[in-house]
Amino acid sequence: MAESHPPHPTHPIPAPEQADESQTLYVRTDRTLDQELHIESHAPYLKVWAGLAFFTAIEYFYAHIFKDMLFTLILGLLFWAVIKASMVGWYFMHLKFEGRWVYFMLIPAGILAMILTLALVPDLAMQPITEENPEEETVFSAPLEPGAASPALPT
Amino acid sequence: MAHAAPPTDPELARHVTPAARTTIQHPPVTPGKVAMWLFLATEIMFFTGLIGSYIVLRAGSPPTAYSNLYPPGTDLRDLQDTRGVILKSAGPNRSRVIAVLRTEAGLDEHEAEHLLDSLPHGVAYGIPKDKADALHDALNAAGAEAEVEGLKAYHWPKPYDTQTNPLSIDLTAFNTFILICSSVTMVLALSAFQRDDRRKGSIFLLATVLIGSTFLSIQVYEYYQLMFGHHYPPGISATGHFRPDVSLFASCFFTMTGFHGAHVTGGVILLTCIFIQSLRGIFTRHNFSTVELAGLYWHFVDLVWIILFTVVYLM
Repeated sequence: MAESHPPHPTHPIPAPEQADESQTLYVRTDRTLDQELHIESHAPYLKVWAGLAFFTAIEYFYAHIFKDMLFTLILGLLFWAVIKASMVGWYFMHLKFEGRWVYFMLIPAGILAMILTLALVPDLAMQPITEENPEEETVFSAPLEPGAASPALPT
Repeated sequence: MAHAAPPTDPELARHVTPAARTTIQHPPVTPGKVAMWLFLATEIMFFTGLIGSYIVLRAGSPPTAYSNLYPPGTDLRDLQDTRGVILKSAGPNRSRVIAVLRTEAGLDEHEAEHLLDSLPHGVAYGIPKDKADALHDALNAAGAEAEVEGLKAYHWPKPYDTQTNPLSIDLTAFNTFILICSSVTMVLALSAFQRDDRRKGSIFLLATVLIGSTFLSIQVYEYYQLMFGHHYPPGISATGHFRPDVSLFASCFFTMTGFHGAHVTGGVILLTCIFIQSLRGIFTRHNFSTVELAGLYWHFVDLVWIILFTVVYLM
C-alpha cells in the first residue's frame, strides 16, 4: 500500500528554498515536480478511505435516529455530506496539491451553482397558498376533520 | 537569469511546456488537466440543475400528494375515514395467518405467501373502520401481530417509511461504501504509477473496474427489485411496482440515479480501456496523465454519489 512503500526517489531531494540559484529553471522545476510526485504518491489515502467509511456509517445512523425531525435531519446530513465530499476533493482529486489555477474554474462553477440554487428560492419558499397547499399543516393523521385537506381559502 | 530548457520527449508527450513548468510549488498545469477540470465544472452545473429541480419539485409537492393507504396523487378529501391493516409479524402459526388472509382479505395463496415474506406489509387498504377492525381481530386471533392504521398524508415519501418509500437505505449505504472503496483503489493506482510500480498500478486499476462494476450490478439489482421484483403497497404505487411513471418521486429518483449510473458506466468502460493499456506497460512515473485524468472523473462521480445518496435516499 502507499504508506508502506519506501520513499521515492532514493536520493534526497532539496526543498525548493534550498535549490541552487545558479541552476537553470528547468532543473529547479523538475526537482519540484519530483517532490510533488513524492508527496502525492505517499498521501495518506487509506486513512482518508477509513474516514469516508466512518462518516458514511455516521450518516447512516444519524438518518435513522433523526428520521422524524426534518430540520435536524437535513442540517446534519448536509454537514456530513459536505465533509465527505471535501475529503474526496481535497485528497483523492488532489486539490490539496494543485495550484491556484484550478480554483479559477471551480469557484465560478460553484458561484453559478449557488446562483442557480438561490434563484429557485421563490419556487421553494414563496409558494402561493392554494387549495392543495394549506399553510398550517404538512402532515395530518386520521381521523381527519372533514375538509382538512381543503381548508377554507383566505377571503 | 535562468532560462527554461526545451521540453523533453516525455514532457512533450504529456503536453508539458516550459511555461507550464514555471509553477514551482505545484504539479504542472497540463492542457489535459485544464480540459478535465473545465469538463467537471460543466458537470457540476449539470448535477446542480438536477438536484435543484428535485428540490423545487419536492418543496412544491402538495401536502396530500402521498399517503399510506392510497396511490400517489389520489384525492383524499372523501377518504379521510378509511383505514388500512398492517401486518407486522406472522407469529408462530404461518398457515393459519395465510388462511385468514385468503378468507378475510381475499388474497390467493401465492399473494399471501409473498406478503408474509416481506413483512411489515399492508394487508388491506382504504377499507371502512368496522371491516378493518374485523380483519385485525381475525389476524391477531391467528397469532399474528397486526395494526389498524388511519389515513396519513405526506407531501413527499419519508425515508424508512415502508408504506410510501420503497428505497432500501441499507442496500444503498453498502453500495455507497463500495463506491468509496473504488475511489481509493483508483487513487492508489495513480500513486503506484507515480512511484513506477506498474504491476501494482495495473492491479489497482483492475480492482477499480471490478468494484465499479459491483456498484453498477447492485444498482441494476435495485432497479429490478423496484420495477419488477417487489410488489409494493398502494402508498408507493397503484400498480404495485415502483416505475418512473408512478409518481413524481419515482421519476425524480430514476432520473437522478439513472444519470449517475450512466456516468459510472462510462467510467467503468474508460477504466477498462486504461487497464488494458496499462498491461502494455505504457504508464510510468513520467507518463501517468491518462490515469490521473480518468481518476479525476472517477472521483467526481464518487463525490456526486455522496450528495445524491444524502439528498435522495436519506432526506
